[in-house]
Amino acid sequence: MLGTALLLVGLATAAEVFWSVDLDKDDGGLISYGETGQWDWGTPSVGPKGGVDGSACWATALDNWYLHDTEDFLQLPSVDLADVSWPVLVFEHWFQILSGDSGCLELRTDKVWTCLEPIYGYPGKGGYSGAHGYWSTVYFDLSGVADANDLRLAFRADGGGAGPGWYVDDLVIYDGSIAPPTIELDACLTDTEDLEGPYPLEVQVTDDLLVESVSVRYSVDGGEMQEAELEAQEGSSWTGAIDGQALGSEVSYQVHASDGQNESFEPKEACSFTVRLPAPTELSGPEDLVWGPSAELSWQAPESEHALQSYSIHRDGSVVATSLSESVDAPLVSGEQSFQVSASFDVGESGLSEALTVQAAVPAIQSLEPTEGYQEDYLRLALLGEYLLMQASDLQFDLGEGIEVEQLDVRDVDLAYITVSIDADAPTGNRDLVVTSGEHQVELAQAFEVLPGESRPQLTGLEPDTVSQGQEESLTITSSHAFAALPSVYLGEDILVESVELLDELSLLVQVAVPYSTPLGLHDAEVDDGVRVIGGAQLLVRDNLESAGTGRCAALPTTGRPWSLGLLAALAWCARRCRAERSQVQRRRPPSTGMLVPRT
Amino acid sequence: MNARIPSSCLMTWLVAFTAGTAACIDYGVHDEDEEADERLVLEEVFTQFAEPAVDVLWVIDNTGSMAEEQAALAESFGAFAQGLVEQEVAYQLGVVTTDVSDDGAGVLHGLPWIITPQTADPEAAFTEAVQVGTDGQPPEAGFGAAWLALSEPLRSGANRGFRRDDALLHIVVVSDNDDESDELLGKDPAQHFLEFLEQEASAAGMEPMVSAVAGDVPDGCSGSSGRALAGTRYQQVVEATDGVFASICDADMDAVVQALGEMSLIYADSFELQAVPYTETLAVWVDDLRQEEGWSFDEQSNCVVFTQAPEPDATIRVRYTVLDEGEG
Repeated sequence: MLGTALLLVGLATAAEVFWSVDLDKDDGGLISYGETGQWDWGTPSVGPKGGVDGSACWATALDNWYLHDTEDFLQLPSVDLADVSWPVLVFEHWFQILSGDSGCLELRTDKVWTCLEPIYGYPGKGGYSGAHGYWSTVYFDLSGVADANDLRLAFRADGGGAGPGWYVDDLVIYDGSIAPPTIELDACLTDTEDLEGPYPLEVQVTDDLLVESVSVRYSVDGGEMQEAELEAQEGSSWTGAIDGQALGSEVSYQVHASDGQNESFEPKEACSFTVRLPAPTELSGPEDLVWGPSAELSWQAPESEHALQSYSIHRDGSVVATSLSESVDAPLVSGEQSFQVSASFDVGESGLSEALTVQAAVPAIQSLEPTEGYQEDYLRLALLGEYLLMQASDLQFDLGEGIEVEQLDVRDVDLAYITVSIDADAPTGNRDLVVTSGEHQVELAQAFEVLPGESRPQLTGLEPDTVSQGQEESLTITSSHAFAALPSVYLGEDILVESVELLDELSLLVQVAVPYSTPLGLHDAEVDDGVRVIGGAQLLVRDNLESAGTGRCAALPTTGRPWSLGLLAALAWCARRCRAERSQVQRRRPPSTGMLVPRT
Repeated sequence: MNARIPSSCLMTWLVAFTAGTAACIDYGVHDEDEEADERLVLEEVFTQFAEPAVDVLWVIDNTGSMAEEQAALAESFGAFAQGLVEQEVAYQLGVVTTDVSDDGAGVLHGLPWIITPQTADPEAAFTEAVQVGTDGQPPEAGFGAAWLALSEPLRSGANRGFRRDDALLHIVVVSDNDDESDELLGKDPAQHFLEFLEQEASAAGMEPMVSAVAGDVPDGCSGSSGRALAGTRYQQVVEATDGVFASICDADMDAVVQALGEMSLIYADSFELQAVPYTETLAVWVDDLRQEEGWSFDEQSNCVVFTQAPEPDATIRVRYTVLDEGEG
């Protein structure tokens, strides 16, 4: 695993620049020639599409792939190297060259050109070939070379095809060893369940000088840098180790090598590994949205030398369940959530499995209003749910002993009104609410409290408390408790409530009409403020035959024409007629949708 | 055709509903001396709906050309919902796609998949639900998808709770193609779908409405997002159910969607009398205020018709002298 925890240290060298060219300014005096003379200086539009640190470089071809079946050369300008004690040519290059074609640096000796081996060798036999689509540095020891003019970049292509080509930049001749050691790591160390350590390393290090030292520099969990020396083995091999680390530690490291003048680090981006116990694998669960409180997840047990004890199930980073087997009924929350599983071993907890995303809609009770009622109360409760998907056909509502559901009115899948009656002897105290909707049953603890009936809201006054058939009347009704909203008033059979007005929070002004069809005697008065039916007062309806001379038929509004007066026969007809009309209407009258229906 | 109100008032309702849902109390009196004149005065009392309900099923084309339309629709939710919210309609919104090619055919989209006034953020939920993607497969079966969504097993399964017995059903199809439900609904999908809606009307007591945002008939149209084919079948069903047909090439999706929202309002503006009145004796009160204007009497339907529907829960009183007691 690659990381970036360590900083690279730059080259430290005693070598000095003897000659260099800036190809972003000019062609550096290099000369292109050969069968096609295809070497060209400028900004390439293929291959690397620029120089290593600027726009221009030398390339076998700038705007096309190289020509094939040709030999072409790029000769260095004359630079007298006689006084340079240890000339080293360094340049950057990028190449993608087809197999069978190649490039190399040639040295002319006695008029014969031969490939000069770079300090760390060619990647292939006899030159650069193959895919190398990034810039890198190469070093050539020019000891014994009198003049740079005896050097040329030779590119040879057969007739078999072509590729982007060979691109060179930043040619420099140093006086002194400039080549740092090369470090070869086979691979980074991987996550380990070894809690003891050490964690062994083996690298290959080569240099044009003598390799002076090799070490591994590492940090644990981003902490202080530590260093462990590696020891030279046979050939170019060096071995060493990082000390054992605690479970859960993340170790970042690079290998450092020095020849006394130059040093290098590998890899460029630090390796890292974690000391952890193996996590469960192949975590699986529902792919579709889940409507319910839980979902079954399963996984594969990790392979480990340690003793497995149990599993922990993580939801969005927090443990929500444990299991002794490779499956669990995991609790859900509404929305999208991510599950992972870790394993508990005798030596500690493993890392987390790969994540599994689950979408869920969990049935839940959001609220129940109001949250309290009294013995002998008659209440309209508002139940707000989330993903309860309430529908009238299978909704059940239970607040426990002594509370009976009188009516269920499901407004939508999330909202229902439940009319309940509370028995006079219903136990007082807190109640848990249980709602069953379809296949799901959900609970809300202490959702409702039953209070003693003595403190139940009551009507405390009704003035006047007597009315006569055939009259309109204004009544004042008072209550022991404030009304929740402008209420509706029910005064029993055949008493028509024409208007209701709040006088103050405890009092109502009620206009009523009392037809001749109204039964004589006491009528229970009931006031419904949308939440509760409040009773406790009675209205007496008297016969009005003795006052018929001043009465009006069925208490019609005063906007009508004058009504006949004083005729008993007419009144009797009227009463009969009213009853006939009422019987028609009541057959057609629907159940009230917004009002409580008092118990009979 | 089944009327949403099984009465002659049907055509005068914004959207009809079953008889009796507007509560009615009346009583009669003798107007003159019985011996002199047998004419009867009646006063009828109606109560406007307090909490009307509507289930709106959006059927969204999710084929490759629909990205812009879906985005415009998502942005138009405010216009759609404004009327519903203002009128305190107990709405339920659901979204399905025209793609009926896989197991998810007819299943409501989104989380929540049923959007109600109680939903924490209805606009966000609708926005998410209508953006159903553009990887749907042909055929683009608008009617077929709606039929699947409202039929068993989905009706009481995955789409449980969406369709309420006491709510108006309004289906809104948004597509740049015509309906292609032949495989699901047979040779004449529009007629079969109308028959299905008849069954729905019988069960619910209210006739469903279908609206469509589709290509102009008969030539199709071109809009900012490309060419739309003529929505001939959609228009046929829209006309049969008194819905709204709007052009999908209309740049102003807000106006289109607002019209759809208004069509989902189900307040009554017309009230049928039980007896035939002497029209000159009609007197009307709304919440005890005498209405000298703003209403008229329609003799054909025997209804008092308001220019503007009375407010929710309003009490409407109509007094008149009876000309003919009718069926009473």
